[in-house]
Amino acid sequence: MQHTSATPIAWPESIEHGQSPSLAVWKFASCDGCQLSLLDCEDELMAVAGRVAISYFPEATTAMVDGPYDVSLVEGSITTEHDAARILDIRRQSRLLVTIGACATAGGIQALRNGRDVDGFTSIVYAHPEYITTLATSTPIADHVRVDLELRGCPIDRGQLLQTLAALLNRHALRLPTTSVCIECKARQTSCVMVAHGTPCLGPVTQAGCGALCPSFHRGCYGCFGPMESPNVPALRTQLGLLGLAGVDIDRLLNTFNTTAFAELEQTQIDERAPS
Amino acid sequence: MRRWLEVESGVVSGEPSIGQPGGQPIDWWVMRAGDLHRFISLLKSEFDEVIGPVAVDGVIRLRPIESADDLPTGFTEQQETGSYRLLETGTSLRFSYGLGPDSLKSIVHPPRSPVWTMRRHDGTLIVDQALHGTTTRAVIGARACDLRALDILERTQTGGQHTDPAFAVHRQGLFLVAIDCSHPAPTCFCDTGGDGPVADHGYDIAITELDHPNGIVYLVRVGTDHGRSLIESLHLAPAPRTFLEHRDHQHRSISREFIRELPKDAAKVVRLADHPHWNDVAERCLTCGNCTAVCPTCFCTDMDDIVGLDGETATRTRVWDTCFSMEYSHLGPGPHRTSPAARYRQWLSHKLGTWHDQFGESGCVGCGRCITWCPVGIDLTAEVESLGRPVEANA
Amino acid sequence: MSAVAPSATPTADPLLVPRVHEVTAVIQEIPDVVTIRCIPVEGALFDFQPAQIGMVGAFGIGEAAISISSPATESSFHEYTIRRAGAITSALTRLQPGDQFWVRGPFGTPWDLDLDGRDILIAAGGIGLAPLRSAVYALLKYRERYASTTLVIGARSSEHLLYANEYETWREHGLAVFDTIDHPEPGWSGRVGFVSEVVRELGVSGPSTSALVCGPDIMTFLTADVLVAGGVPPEQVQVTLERNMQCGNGLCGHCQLGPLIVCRDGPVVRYPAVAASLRVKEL
Repeated sequence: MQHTSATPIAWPESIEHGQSPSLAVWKFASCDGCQLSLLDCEDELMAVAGRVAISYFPEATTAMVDGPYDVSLVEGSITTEHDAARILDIRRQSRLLVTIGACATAGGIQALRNGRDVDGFTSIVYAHPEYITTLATSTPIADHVRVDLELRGCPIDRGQLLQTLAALLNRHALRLPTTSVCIECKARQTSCVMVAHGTPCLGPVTQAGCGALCPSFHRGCYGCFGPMESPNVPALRTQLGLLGLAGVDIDRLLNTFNTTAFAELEQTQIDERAPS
Repeated sequence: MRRWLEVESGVVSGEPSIGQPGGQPIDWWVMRAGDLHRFISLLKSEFDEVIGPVAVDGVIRLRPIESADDLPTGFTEQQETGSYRLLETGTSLRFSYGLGPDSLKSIVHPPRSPVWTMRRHDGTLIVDQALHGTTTRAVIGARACDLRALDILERTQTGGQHTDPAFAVHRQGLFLVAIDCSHPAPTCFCDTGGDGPVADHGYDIAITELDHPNGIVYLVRVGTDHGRSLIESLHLAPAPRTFLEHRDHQHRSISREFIRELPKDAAKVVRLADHPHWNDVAERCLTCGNCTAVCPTCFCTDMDDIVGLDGETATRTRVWDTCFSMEYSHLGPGPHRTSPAARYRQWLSHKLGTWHDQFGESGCVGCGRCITWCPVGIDLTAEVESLGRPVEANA
Repeated sequence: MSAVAPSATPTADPLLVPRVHEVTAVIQEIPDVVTIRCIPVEGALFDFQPAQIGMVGAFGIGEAAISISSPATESSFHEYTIRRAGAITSALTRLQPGDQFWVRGPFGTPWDLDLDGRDILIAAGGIGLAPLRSAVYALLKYRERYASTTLVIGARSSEHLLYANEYETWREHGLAVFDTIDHPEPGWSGRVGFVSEVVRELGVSGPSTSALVCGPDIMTFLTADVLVAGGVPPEQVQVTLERNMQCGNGLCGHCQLGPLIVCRDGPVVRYPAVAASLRVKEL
């Protein structure tokens, strides 16, 4: 997972103000939820219908225009050899490639297969496992091609998507927060579920952007926006342990929606702190 | 019950009251539960909004209230480092709780505040400044530390050459009903870090909830003419001296409850920039920013500029910022304070030390919110103590 | 009885209200650096003193703190010299004549130029000459007030020497200009070395010297140390500071450097006030 910089992003010179950039939306292994977030922006998008050419978006339209495309939005993770080849082709056809959602940016919930017995899973789940061709891993898009921008979350945040499109259409700056979910949680004056209820929450180590949605419904953050700019995973683990969570449960909490992103950071931090 | 009726009429025999009805101005009045309802109704008619303590989502928070029924009657709470639990007491006490996460900051210096809308039309820029609502607000439940914090915050936002217009308008519309603290949390240290638990200035009206053997009463005093005119319109009885003696006794017993303290020389942390303990804190600190959000004096803000999809309108909103953010210290090449140790050091050194240089006082009032609401329970009083030890002892 | 409603009139504070300006000329200075010349769309130019700063804003992008580099006595335009770094300065350096942007300001402490009879040494590193340019013009306008005036300007390479086409004019008006570059390069017969070294070699510092220093933090304290070692009273060394200025009015907290709020207490400060702070990593 890349770290999104809060520094405003300068868009490529190729997208000049006033032109209608062509937009393509691609799906890989995913639930379609992030594409639905885009469709959910229908009212706002109507206002700028003449200024963006939707060239490829099978979820929304049957019209398909060949590339190259100014911008490709990519949803989903790479789980098959066919998809691994397809993303290379999409990258070649796209001036700007934006990954949308936890699957595309971190491998998604399907990355729970990584490091496990995938053949065993296939034989249990499918009546005819011989028809199934799949890779042993689910990997983020950035493991395969260069990614210009990542929109995180499961699903992505509608507001962040609109800000991205606005910046893209108008060559404006885009500023996405890299601070913790707690910042948004306190700003909306939600009571802290961890401090006040003892509910395990990944908010302090997770990047803002969702508006602290889950805590506002009295649930702990499950980390779908991935690690914030300086996540202290070992310190949070200690606290989760004090709240009564067993190590295996902490692992599960950390590794569900962003698979290994938190775990890898944690290991790095433990190594750094170990006396040499 | 007869005894209370006598009190209300102000003619309890053998108990001289303070001030004489119809003669000298009254300094202390007595309010009972029914009067409290009348009082809040009066505030409702006087102000656009009445904000008070409410038990909601397991926390006592400052929220708009409709009547005295919304107050957290029978609730208290238990606080520790990184922990807050709402508890039921079974009593009829309404204000017998330690501070929740909300301070007056949320009201006068809200998390989001509009600044301007800018429109671009044919290459021309047109700026519309945001106007800040003139909503008047009465806030019930401010504690002495909250009033002190408001003073400090006010100095940062209006005390210099420039005045934040939003703060000024919100502050001007504020009417403060202080409640003397009867229940300091174990995380509090206002006796050493601030002014102590009893409100002595900065309020329009101040109330002591008296847990008297004969029943709960509210002792009322005023700090402004506006406060006096409101209280006088309720025609309350003057308070008998025994109640005031009971109040003194109640306050004395509270002062013994503080278990944390901030050393008098806490400002010295500024001179300990190279102390190895900063790295020790950094191993525990999540850099999540909860402490700065709940701190009643942390005032830092950022500007959030959002451009519409049409590309022709841009709205600027002032939002709370935190020195725990990397972007906060952005300089040409990138963030200046990258290490968590440097960010925690900035926060603590500013709060306890350089605040004196910048604003002539400490930025800490001893409310302990940063201790309770830190998800991993970092306690600044303990950190200051560790920083005070000789370096060898820390190794 | 009713509560007095607070007023909701808009603020007139020039640090809070953006004033729309129009670009009248763009001057390409050195690689990645341009000077924008501008006038306000409405009303008169605001007054400022050398080293004061404006928050300069581009629509849809944001604001950057830029010192006003034109002479304070220039009554027909203001100039801002801007280096392309992030998205904001990139957008600002793309502005063309006729484009509109906005300024909030001026703010910050100016250079103290009441230094009659003293030997003035100006030391600038790279784009650090921008906040000093208006001081140069002010010093030369009243040149007779000062015993001597010297400028040491250093840059990465000869093509990075800011305002190089003005040095000759400055010399003619009595400013001794010494330009230096970090590394030797073909065709360069001038000085090579850091500003602090050139200041040392020139031996221009002494008890009668007053210095104005602007550059990166490390250049600032290295040069200041040379000056103080050469006998310049530390109080006579004025330095400018750069921190993340966002509001410009001392309210937002970002630009702190230890005890200082740089937009309020700076950018110009006396060296003793920051000698220690500048050396603390990540302060």
